[in-house]
Amino acid sequence: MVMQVIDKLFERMSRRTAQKMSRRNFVATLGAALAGASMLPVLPVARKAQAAEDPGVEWAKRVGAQTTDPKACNYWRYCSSDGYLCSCCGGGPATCPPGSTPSPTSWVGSCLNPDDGKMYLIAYRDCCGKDSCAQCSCLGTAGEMPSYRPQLNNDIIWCFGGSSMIYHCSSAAIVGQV
Amino acid sequence: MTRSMASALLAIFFSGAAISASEPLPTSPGVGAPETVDPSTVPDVLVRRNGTVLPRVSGAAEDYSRHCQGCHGHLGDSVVEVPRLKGRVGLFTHSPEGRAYIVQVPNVLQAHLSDARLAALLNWLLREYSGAELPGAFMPYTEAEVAQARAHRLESVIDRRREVIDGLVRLGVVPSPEIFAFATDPARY
Repeated sequence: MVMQVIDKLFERMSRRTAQKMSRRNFVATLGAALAGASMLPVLPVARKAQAAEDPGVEWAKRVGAQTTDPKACNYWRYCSSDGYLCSCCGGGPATCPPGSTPSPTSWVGSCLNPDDGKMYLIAYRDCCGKDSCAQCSCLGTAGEMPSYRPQLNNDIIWCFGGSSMIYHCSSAAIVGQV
Repeated sequence: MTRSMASALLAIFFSGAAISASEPLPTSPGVGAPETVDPSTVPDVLVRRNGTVLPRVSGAAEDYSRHCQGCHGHLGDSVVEVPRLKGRVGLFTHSPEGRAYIVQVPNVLQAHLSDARLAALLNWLLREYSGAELPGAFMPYTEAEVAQARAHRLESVIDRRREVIDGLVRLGVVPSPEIFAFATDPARY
């Protein structure tokens, strides 16, 4: 019963359209709609939506993140790393150089792996107890909060809870796949 | 297999992985969350070389990772400066004041999470790290309860904490405040 009514309604609508509108008119309208849609991303509204994308994703695109060279600032795990790369100091992205020890505390952010398009949780853990390494200084700020929210800030020294507050370098261990 | 057995096995598994690999102990929130990721599917030079097994995290476990784990640790037990969750935090839920208090702790109250997600996170972490200490008839937090507790900001967290703990002693939940003592200063709780 309902279907019959809908059927009738649509039949009437299409017949009326066919009678009133030329085919050219339809093609012109469709063309205008397509062209209009393609212009949408240029409008400020669309650009604002893009700006709201995950900061880790934005960083990966901007720096051309890669997954093979942990000694470069654009190695994908470093999207929120601020400091000297442990990889350049005799350690690795997840190992402290000899003579330094990993902080028992860290902050956890997330970066996009550009090769599988997945997000991974990364623990930013400083290696401490030895003078500043001063090699490969990199600054990633994806998802970072101002220092009044210290648990998500990378300007502070993450050696808290360890035996030494002397900063050596920054590590970036993967702690899980989101 | 019981949950604790599974946890123990996973802990052994993970610590083994940490020794053989250069990644540190994967800080899996939810030692009880058994889902792992095959290293060969992770496009990363070190994960593949070392065969590091990563946990897959989602939902409340992911929120714990992002908002709590850095300091409280993936086992709910971290450095002495950070109050221990493991085997302890559930005790607070034995009184209405205690239930409200653990929502009102500053970093919980101010977390960048909605009331609904915070409720889910609290329910997850209470069961994960302190299931044995929960009351038999534990009622999970609801979005409404979290919203109500969150609307009230504590003037002094330390004073409130002591009041709540004294209340738990009076109720007979714990014999003395000792279990809540700060590791940095055992005379204080």
